[in-house]
Parts: sequence; C-alpha cells; structure tokens
Amino acid sequence: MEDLNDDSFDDVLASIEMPAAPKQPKIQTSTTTEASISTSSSTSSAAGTAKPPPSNPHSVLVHSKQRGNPILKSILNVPLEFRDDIIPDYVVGRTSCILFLSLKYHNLNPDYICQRLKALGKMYELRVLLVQVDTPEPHNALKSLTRISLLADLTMMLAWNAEEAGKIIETYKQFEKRPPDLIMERVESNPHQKLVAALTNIKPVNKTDAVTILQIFGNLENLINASEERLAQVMGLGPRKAKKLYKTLHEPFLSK
Amino acid sequence: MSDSEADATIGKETEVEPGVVPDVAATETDAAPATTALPESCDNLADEDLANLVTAEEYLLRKDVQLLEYEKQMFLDLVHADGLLVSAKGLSYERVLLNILKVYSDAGNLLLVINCADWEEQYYKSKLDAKYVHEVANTATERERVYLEGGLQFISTRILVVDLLKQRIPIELITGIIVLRAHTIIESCQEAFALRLYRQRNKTGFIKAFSCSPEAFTIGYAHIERTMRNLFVKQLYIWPRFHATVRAALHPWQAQTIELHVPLSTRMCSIQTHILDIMNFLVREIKRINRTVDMEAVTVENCVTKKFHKILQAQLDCIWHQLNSQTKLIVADLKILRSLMISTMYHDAVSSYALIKRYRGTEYAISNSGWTLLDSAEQIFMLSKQRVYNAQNEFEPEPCPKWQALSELLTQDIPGDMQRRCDRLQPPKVLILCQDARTCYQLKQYLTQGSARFLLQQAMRHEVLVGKLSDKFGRESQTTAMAEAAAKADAKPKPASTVAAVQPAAAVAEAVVDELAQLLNETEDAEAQLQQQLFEESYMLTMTQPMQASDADPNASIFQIIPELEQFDVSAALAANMQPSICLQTFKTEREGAMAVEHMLDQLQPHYVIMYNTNVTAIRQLEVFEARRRRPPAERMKIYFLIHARTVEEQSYLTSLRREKSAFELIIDTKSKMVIPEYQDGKTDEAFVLYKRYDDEEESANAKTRQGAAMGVALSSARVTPKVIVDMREFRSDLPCLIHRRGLEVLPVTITIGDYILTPDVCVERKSISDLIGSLNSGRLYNQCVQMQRYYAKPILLIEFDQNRPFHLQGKFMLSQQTTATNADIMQKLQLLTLHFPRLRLIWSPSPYATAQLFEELKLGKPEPDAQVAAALGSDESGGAAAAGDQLQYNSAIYDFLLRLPGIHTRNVHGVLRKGGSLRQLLQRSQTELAELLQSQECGKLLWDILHVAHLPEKDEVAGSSALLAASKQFGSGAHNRFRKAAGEARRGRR
Repeated sequence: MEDLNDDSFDDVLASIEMPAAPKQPKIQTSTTTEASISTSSSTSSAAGTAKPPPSNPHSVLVHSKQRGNPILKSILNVPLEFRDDIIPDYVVGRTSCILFLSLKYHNLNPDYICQRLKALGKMYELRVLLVQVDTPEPHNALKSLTRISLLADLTMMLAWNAEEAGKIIETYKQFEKRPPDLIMERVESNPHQKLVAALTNIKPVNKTDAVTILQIFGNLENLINASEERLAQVMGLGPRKAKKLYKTLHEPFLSK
Repeated sequence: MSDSEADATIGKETEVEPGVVPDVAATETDAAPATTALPESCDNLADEDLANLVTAEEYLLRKDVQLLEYEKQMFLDLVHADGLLVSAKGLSYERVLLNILKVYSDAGNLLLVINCADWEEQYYKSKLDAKYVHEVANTATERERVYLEGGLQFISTRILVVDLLKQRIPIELITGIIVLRAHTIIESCQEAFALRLYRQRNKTGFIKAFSCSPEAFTIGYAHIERTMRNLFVKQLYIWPRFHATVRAALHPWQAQTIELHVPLSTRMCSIQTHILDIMNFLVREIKRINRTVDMEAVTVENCVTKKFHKILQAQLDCIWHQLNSQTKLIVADLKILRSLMISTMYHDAVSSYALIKRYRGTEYAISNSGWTLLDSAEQIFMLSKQRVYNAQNEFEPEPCPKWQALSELLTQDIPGDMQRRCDRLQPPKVLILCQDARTCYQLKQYLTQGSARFLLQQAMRHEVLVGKLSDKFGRESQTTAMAEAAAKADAKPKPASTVAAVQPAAAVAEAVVDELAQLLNETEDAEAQLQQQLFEESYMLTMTQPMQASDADPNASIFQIIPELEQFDVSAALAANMQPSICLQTFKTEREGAMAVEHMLDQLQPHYVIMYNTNVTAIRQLEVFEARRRRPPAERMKIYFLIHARTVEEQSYLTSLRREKSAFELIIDTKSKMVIPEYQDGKTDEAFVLYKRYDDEEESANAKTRQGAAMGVALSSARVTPKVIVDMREFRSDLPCLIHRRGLEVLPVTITIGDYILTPDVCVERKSISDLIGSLNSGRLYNQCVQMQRYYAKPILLIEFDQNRPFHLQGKFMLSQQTTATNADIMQKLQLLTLHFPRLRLIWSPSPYATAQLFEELKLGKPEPDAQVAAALGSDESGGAAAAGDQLQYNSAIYDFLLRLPGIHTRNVHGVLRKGGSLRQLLQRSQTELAELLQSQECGKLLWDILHVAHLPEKDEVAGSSALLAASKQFGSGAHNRFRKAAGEARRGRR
C-alpha cells in the first residue's frame, strides 16, 4: 500500500512552498531548534539504515541532535543510546520510529518537517509524528500536519508538554513486543463463555443462537461434523445463518 | 432600551392588525391554498365546514374556536406568513398552535412537528382528531407509506433527517414543518439540518417556529438572528406580557388578588442576611481573582435566582480550564449557599438544619473556599440550630411561617368568604400551587398531620437528634396525637411489643413516648413506601369537619387525603364527595410540563387559588384562564399570594420578571435593527448558493496547487458533488449536518465498518473522548480497527473534542477528565493500538466544524465512495474486496473464530492457520499434536478440551440463561443430562 501513496506523498511535498530564506527564531529557547539546525545535511548523509555498531536492543536510539531536548528528562524507565547513524529522531523498535516536532518550531519553520520526511522516505513500518502542542492556537498548524501525516503515512500523536512527550516515547519502547491483549475484549476464563464469544463473532449468529447451538451439539466436534441441514433445523438459526455458520466452520484456513 | 420605545414598537405591531373582519380575501393567498386544499371525500360534518372556509379569519369566527384576542392575532400572523413566534412565559401559544394544527390536519396535507417534548406531544395528540395524527412507524417502508397518507406526524428529528436524505419522504409534498422550542435550534443541530434539507427541495411549504423562552435568546452573539437563519424564517413575532393587545385581553378579567405578607421569623431573617453577606463576599472574591474574565452574570442578585446554575455554566464552560482552583471552589460554594438559602426559605426548620449541619463536617471544611471560617457562617450554624432546639437544648423546632397563614386561610378566611358569597350549594374548591414536589409533600403532611408531628417525622428521617422534647412541643404533639387517635381509633391498634422495645429512646411524658414510639414504628415500615410516593406532584385533600374543628383546636388535623387518587382522576374525586376539596399542585409536572396547571384549573374549576410560592408562568396561566372564562367580577377566582415580603423570595420573583422584560426589550430592539436578506426564507436557490460554492473553490485550489497532468483529472471530477457515506447510527452526532453544510452530499447507509467513508480507500471511525476511553477499555475499538484495516487501505481514527470544551482539557492533559493515572492509561492503550495497527492514522480534531472542513479537504480530487460496496463490506459473503495487508491470505472469519478459542492467542494463531488446514483437520489431531502446533503443552490441552469436551454454562452465568431455558424446554431435560454424561466419559477416557 505504500506504493499507492507514491504520488500523493510527492504531491504534498511539492505543494509546500519553500520560503526564500528560512527564518531564524529570534530567541533560541526550545531545544527543538538546536535539534533541527543541521538536520538536512547529516540525515541525508546517513541515508538508509547504515550498518550500526551493535546496540542494546532494549534501549531507545536517540539521534545525537536530540541531546538536550527536555523531553529526554522524563524518559526514565528505558535506557537511551545516542547515535548519529539513524535518520528519525528516535528509534523505538525494529520497525518503529518517532519524529518529534514542537508546534512553536513548526510555525517558524514550516518546511522543516517536509525535509525530514524526504530524508526518511519510506523506512519503518510505524512512523509516529510526535507533536508537542505548545502554542495557544494550535488548530491551523495541526490541520496542516494532519494532512501531511495522512499523505506521508505518519501516525500523529499529540503531547501537551515535555513530560507527556517523553512518556509517549518511553511507552512505545516498552510496548514494542506487547501483545494487544490490553486493548482486546476481556475474554472470560470459562470455556463455555469463550465458545459463545467465538461463535457470536461469526456475523449473523447472536448470543441466543450460540447458547442454543452449544446446548444441542454439546461440543465443537459435533458442531463441526454437523451437516448444513442439521444446522438449519436449530431453532432460531434458519437457512441463512446456518449457511454462513457452516461455511465459516468448513473453510480452509488459507485462502488461495 | 426604554419602556416608551418598547411600547412604540409594540404599537407599530398592533396597528397592522388586519382585524377579524374578512375584508379582502384576495390578500390571504398564503392561507387560502392551505385551508382550501381539503379532500373531496369529507365524511363528517366538521370537515365539510372546514372545507367551506376560505380564509383564516373565517376560521376564527367559528363557534368552537375559542381564542383570546391576542391569540387570534398570533394565529393570523402565523397562518399568513412563516415566522418565529416568541411569547412570554405563561401566555401559552399552545392553543394557537393547536388551532393551526387543526386547520392543517387533513389527508391532503403532510404536516410535521419537530423538537417537541414528550408532554407536548401527548397534549396535542389528546386534543386533535386521531384520524389525522399518525404515529411514526418503526420500519422504513411503513414510514414511506404513512407519509403518503398525509396528516400530522410528531416525528423525531433523527428519523426525519435520514428519511429526507434517503428521500423516503416526498419532500416536495410536505405542506409544512412546525418547530417547537425554537430557541434550541443552533446551526449544528439535527433540526437545522432537517430544515435545510427540506428547504433545498421544497420551496413552497411553510416553516413556523415557536418559543416561549425569551431569555434563551439573550445568550450568545446574535442568537435570534442566527436562529431565524437556521429556521429559514423572515418574520419575528414578539408577544411579551406588556404587549398592548395582551394587556387589553387580560385586564378586564382580572381576578381578585390578595397579597398576604407573611413575616419571616427573626432567626430566618438573620440567617438570610448572613447568607447574603457570605455570597457578597464570595462574589467580590471571584471578581478580584479573575479581573480579565467577564463575570457579569455573577452577582448576588443572580445567585439567588433559579437559573443561576445554567447562566454560570454557559459563561464559564468555555474558559473553565483557565480558571484557577480557588475560583472553581467559589463557584461550587455559591451553589451550595444557594441551596442553603432555598432550604431556609422553603423547607421546614428540621430538614434545613440537617442540611446545614452537613457543611460543618471536617471533610467539607478542607474542600471549600473558606467561607465556613467567616463569622457569618458561624452565625448561620448557630441560628439554624436555634430554630430546632430551644435554649434548654430541648427539641422545639419552629414551624414555617407560611403554615400558620395557610391554615388560617383554609379554616377561616375561605369559609367566611364562602358564606358571604352566598352560593353555598357547592363546596369550596381550593387550589394550592407550590414550586416543587417537595413543598407539595410538605404541605400535604402538614395539613393532614399537623406541624408538630410532621417536624418530628422529619427529624427521624434526617436523623436529627431529638433528645428531649420541650414541654410546649410535647403538648402540641400530644394534642395532635389525640386528634389523630380519634380519627383512626379502630384503624390502627398499637403494636405493644414495639412500643416496649423503643421505650428507652424517649423518656419524657407518657403520651409523648407513646407517640414517639408509634412514630418511629411508622417511619420504619413506611420508609420504603415513603421513598416511592414521597414526592408526588399533586395531592387532593378534603376538610372533614370544616366548622367545629377549627374553633376547637387549630392544630388538630382536619384535612384528609382523598383516597381515589391512585389514578388521579380529579373529576371523579369531585363527583364522589361533596366535601370541600383542596388540591395541591406543583407548577410543573414530569408528565404534563407547565400544562399541568392549566389542566388542573380546567378540571377543578377552583374558587380559590393560593399561591404558596410565586411563579411568573403560573400567575399568567391564572390570568389567561380567567380571561377565557369571561365571568363577572363576583364569580371570579380569588387568588391569595403568600409572600415573604422584602426577602430573597420576593426578590427572585422580581428578578425573573425583570430578566424576562429585558430579554424582550433586547429582542424588540434587535428586531428593529435586524437586516434580513430577501433569500433567507430559502425559497429561492440563492440561499443555498452559499453552501454550494464548492465547485469554484476547488477549481481555484487546483489552479494554485496542482499543475500539469493532475489538472485534467481533478477538473473532470470537479463537476460532481462530492459524497460522503455516513453510517446510519452516526446521525445522533452533529457531524453529518456540518458535512452537509459544507456542500458535501451525505449518503446515509447502514455500514458495519467505520462511521464515515470518504473515498473507496478512506474509512473513518469517529470517537468522542468518552467513546474513545470506553471503547479502548472494552476492546470494541480493537475489533473495529481489525475490520477497518482488513477492508480499507487507509483506516482513520478520528478523535473528536467537544467544541465547547477546551482543546487541551482541564489540567495538563487532553484526556484528563478523570485522574491522571487513568489518562496515562488511555494514552498507553492508544499507543498500543497504533503499534498493532501501524497503518491506522489518527486525526485529532478540536470540533465537528474542523472535522467537516478537514473531510472536505481530504476529498479534493479523490474518487467517490460507492454506497453499495461500503454497505456490503463486512456484512457477509463479500469476502474482502479491497484486501490489503498480509493477514488476508487467511480467511478472516476463521481467523477471528480461532483467536477466540482457549489456547490460541495472537502469537500462535499464525502457526495454526498455516499448518492446521481446516477445523475438521484439527479435530483429527491428538492432544500432543496440537500442543506441538501451538508450541505449548498447556495451550494444546486447552484447545483439545474445547474441541472434544462439552462445556456447560456455569451456574452464576446470567447471560444467555433465558435462551438456555427456552432451549431446554424445547429439547427436553434429557439433552442436558446426556451431554453431561458424554462429557464425563470423555474426561475419563482421557485419563
């Protein structure tokens, strides 16, 4: 699907006007400014994942230019490793990276993010654009960032202060290999309830049907071996549901 | 605006009065088609009469149309032109509307009434010919049929919007739409959406809107103009109470009113002063802290009026996050003080003491703004205690000052007056109006039981320590008890054992002990039923021995409740007994709203009305009632007002009057300056040009951003109106309306995946913050994302904030309505979601408006979605047309099924799918083979178990048990046992 976006992605980059001379922020307060000053040169030189010296798989890789960013202070529970050979700001997993952007900075240098994205290309599967909302009226900037993130396959996350931003990076690393059980339906331990849940997941079958089916056939073996006609006789099922149920249970796992 | 100016405007309005004379029928072209378009096959006489009428004026001349002069004027205004009618509270446009509905109720017309409350709907339905009033059918096809039958429908707007969009309703044939409670119509609401859809296709039908809340139009910038624009009306009719016609209609029939100024007790008076002092202090404080914020509404005067909460909420909601904690505390405390004030004024001494006592606790002391430390607060606590206990710390609560006055009225003034009136044939009928169910109950208890008993009972209920009764109070309650005992001597033999048991509790005079014990006993067993019937909204009482009792003992209960109140059939109760009857009624009821008073007046036809509290609406209802009856002065009702003069009570009444008046002045002023464009009625296409600029906009956008090859493609698609597919269930939210407003076409379809389909690729799931939290916790969002990712190339999760709330919510974090811990939790879950759905895009939208704008931009130059494809996706069979991603080499249905079986989880499911073959093949495998497949002994055992062993629901499993019962009935109980045996055998075999 990344191929699908080829045109549109280039599109947005093309559509963004390049200012004649990049404005320099008057006060060099936020550390994001230093993070960005020399981005284009170094990131383009390190194009592609250069062979990294072996790194600790448990640490967040941080681009050296992020050194001094206050959000690093709130990353407490995972080790950090500063490196020059990564393109994104943070690498939090084998296939996931994070680009950090403060809205204040974005308002001053709207083309910065586009350059970073150009350098990033299509690398990584999960590409998080971590936006720190630090302006009083963020909506316009957020809207344009939303459009960019849709076109450039970025997942946008918002943080309202440095601690939150740091927490988000930390969490991404910690959750790198976490199964999705936390956000999935709570499944009851009781096997009967599990069976009911599994059966009701087949579209037209409702809870009543599932309970009735289990009552009649007893176990899954009998159910799987039952003929479509037998299923259709079950009260409440009818030919349509029976057909769907039968089809689902007898489909080969792999489709051609 | 000054009074004279207001009157001038009014005068202008009245001079255009066409009069009741049907002079020029030609000018009534507007009304003519409506009233003449009657069916040929009239089957009853009334219809024929109607058919012969030509003008609205003639309709008014008919005998059965009883309208007051100003109501006739309202009727004519609205029949002749579309408009918004704003009437003062209590002037009741209901009758006007009723007559409009009657005029149009006919099979040849299709009339829709929207935005009405339940009680309004009931009211109109009960008064109209059922022949023409159609219920809104449940199914779409049924509705289509009913629409074609014409007549009248009270329809919920959500259904109407969908039917309009799907064109199930013949839009061109709609005669008109009537909008009630028009002040609630804002741009983004469903009603405005429905009206816009209607006006786009129907240029001849009418729109008439009603509102009786002038205050509502004062909130916000140019509220009334905007409302009128949303309603597509050009006329504004204003009917304040001070309108010349209204005054002329009501004044000649004024009832005799007697104001009884009841003085507050000295303690109440000083409590009131102290509460006002504290309020004053807090208001000054709040203004000192927030110098920059507009705090105009926060005044002491407003604090004591009824709508204070709403006003404050409206003003502070949008800046709530900017206020510091101290301000929030003060706002909360102002509300508390208000409730204390109300309690002191209206409730009895005991319950208000119980309430005030709660704010002396330590936990409240640490969580308030500090007012409890003030001297005045100390005084309040002391005084409210003194109201209940006397100097010797004995229980001697003071009765409400109004009670005495009420008793005197009922037992002396009214009977005396009756005698003078000389029509002694009828027993007197008295209506007592009070503000809420609680007061209503209080009065009922007081009248039936006497004050002492009632206060004792309250003390029990609120667990106020009774301790020792004072002599005086003891005597009183004793006499009451005697009277009580006399009344129901046989009915209630005292249970001796319980008396003995509670005896130590009270240790004063014998009689009092007995009384107390009995009371305790009663309260205990009556508690349950008390809770249910505690706060009824109306009661009917009767006086048993009207004359003798009153001179024998003023405190004895001479009132009894009329038993046939189960169904509350007033007329039956009236017919049944010839005793004098007293009816207690609240100003508003759940079931009938403000119409309850009118209904009661009609049924009871009271001779006397006692306003226990004051209320603008109710007073006007009485006026209107009297004006309708047109009786000579001697026969009119006598109205007694019980007022605490120069107190908060009087002030709050005056404030509400003043506020209504100034609201009207504002509206009148606005009307005189209002610029209404010719096209505002939407009857020309001009009005919609504004929304439909879309094409040009896109072209210019193209010219700017796209060059060369892209140009041709975009231009060819520019002619088509962009479409957005919207799930039927999404019509509860504002977003579809706003999308339509931006000129996009909205296609309502029932879709199983996502909420909005923008292009064939883009599918959006909208979540408000509370939804987001809920669905992340329940796992629903995960399933929705699985589905979206399966069928769409670009799934989007739209996180939408409320526009009235700040984008970054209170405290530090946007999701932080709860504690920070749960926030972090939600953010983590959201991150986990993005980890598992790397292709899921997130949109953070500050408001539905912003979302609509974004949608429009996202659709630029993109292909249109197909409704049929979208509806078919995920429902069944379809298979997965836009199959994208690696997961789809598996059959998705079986993937989901397997994932829910015990022993299979997200990590090993892929192995099973690759090597398992099919479910049948899995059945053949032994437990060890399965364990190998799943790479775990434990999992293998679980899966084998679930495949081959019957599992029965556990006893405590509530869900599905009813189905189980039904099933076991059908197949007999044998089935149950058979499976259990089979399961047992299987288990044994395995061992």
